[in-house]
Amino acid sequence: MMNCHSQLAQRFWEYGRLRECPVLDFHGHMGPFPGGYMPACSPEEMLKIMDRCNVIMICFCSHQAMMAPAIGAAGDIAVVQKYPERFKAYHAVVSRHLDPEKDLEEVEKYPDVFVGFKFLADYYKVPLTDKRHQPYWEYADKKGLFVLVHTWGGSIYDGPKEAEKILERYHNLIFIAGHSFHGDWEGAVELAGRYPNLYLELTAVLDDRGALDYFVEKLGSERILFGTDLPWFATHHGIGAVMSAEITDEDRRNILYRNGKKLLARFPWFKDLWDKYGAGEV
Amino acid sequence: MTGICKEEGSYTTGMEFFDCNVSYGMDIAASQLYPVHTIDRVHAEMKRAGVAKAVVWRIESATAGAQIGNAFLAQDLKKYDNMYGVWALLPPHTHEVFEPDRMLDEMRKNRIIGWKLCPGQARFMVKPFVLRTWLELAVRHNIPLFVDTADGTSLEALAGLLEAYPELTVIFTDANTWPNDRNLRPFVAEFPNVYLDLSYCITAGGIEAFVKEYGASRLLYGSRFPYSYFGANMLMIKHADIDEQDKVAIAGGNMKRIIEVMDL
Repeated sequence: MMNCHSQLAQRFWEYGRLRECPVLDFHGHMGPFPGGYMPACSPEEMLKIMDRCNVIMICFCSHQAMMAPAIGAAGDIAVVQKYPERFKAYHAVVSRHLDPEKDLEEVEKYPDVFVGFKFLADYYKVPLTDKRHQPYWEYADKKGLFVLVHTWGGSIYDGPKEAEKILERYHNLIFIAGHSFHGDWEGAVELAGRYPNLYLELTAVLDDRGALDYFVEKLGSERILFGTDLPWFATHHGIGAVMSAEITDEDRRNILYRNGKKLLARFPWFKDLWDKYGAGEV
Repeated sequence: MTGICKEEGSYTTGMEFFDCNVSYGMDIAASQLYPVHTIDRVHAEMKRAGVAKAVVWRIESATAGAQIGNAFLAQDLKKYDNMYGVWALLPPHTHEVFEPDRMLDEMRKNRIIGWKLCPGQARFMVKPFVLRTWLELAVRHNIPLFVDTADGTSLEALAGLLEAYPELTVIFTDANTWPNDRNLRPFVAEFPNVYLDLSYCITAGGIEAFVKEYGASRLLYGSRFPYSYFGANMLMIKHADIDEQDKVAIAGGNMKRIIEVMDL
């Protein structure tokens, strides 16, 4: 039953999805990936998985948007327009192929599509503070957008030290630390303690037993967001890990949807979506 | 990270979870936030999660040596009959573990159901001529070999063993690449007794896609506890989009069958 100390875990165990505990996923991708086979990478396959877990919405940036600049954001825009209640997009910041004027115009043009930007500095080997990124940080800060950053402990491109240089400067954007500075759990908690606009996101954290327990113990559960990298990690695997951690059921609810709901409330389209699905199932 | 489930046994589901990948002990090479040093603690955590049985490995079998860790494990297993042990193997040429003619008897006496290769720490070559004596014994008696690429066995080395002994039973954990179907599926397709530990097979839709093509008989529930939670893969299996009987097989039936066909 995963965790006999948790009533919420027992209900998830029985049903796999709960009307009264929806899930908001803040870290998704889409499409084929060069380094591995992902059987559920189409939007429709992702939706099937989301439905099985009552994930009402996922914020994503497709592999193609991040790795094939010739395609850019067009595919992601089309997916969000096809499924506007289930998908929202991060605009990729492809460090070596930037066109800030075009990119920011695109984000401006589609306020119902984009929630912010996605940085993948480790992959591109360009640090977050590179001056080429500045227009994106400035824009996100001005508009109060989300910035999902792939972060990794010890990285010179997107580790805690590099992230802090951004956080010192920009206080209005929401810095979502994808993977929570993976491995440097202490650094992640310290940084989150100093910067209220930093949120720790759980993709690739949840296969390491103890990291989530440690975050909640040291930081509390209100600055933690659920994420799966879908179509990478199985969503039920992630939920199973959240249910297994030694935290309270209130903490689990904060992580799975309450914190996300508070953040998403800044977008005009979210109220209708939440009113429709938030108290029930998709 | 403490606590024992008082309601032990009250949550029966008809799906018995038999974990093929559990370890414990004092790791000198890596720090954990919440380490699990004793078999008692493993047992308590299994109860909390509702895991019925487990194949367990003592970390010291790699970090302090096969002689030390294997002896620790044998002693520990006397306390719990729902756990089954795996011993570290070394080349027989140096006579550091039980001799082949005594090994099976010692395994039977100590509830040891398989061998594990740790060539990275123990520093030996994974070649058929190095391990021939053990491999022949394994094939003859259906003894599973637990291979985790994190312990230093490369995919190429494993392929070499299986090409020489295609009937060998291997419980395979590929820790070095993920998602890893491009590496794992050819082993399953080619060798009839290769089983995949799901510890690192956690890709969205991965179980469903694999079962559709190869059936459910080659997948084993594994958690990699204490490095991962027991419950993450349990929920993934319980609510996979596959037949109920396939879930039962993956959760524990396949591991149970592997032990049943052993001939010690």
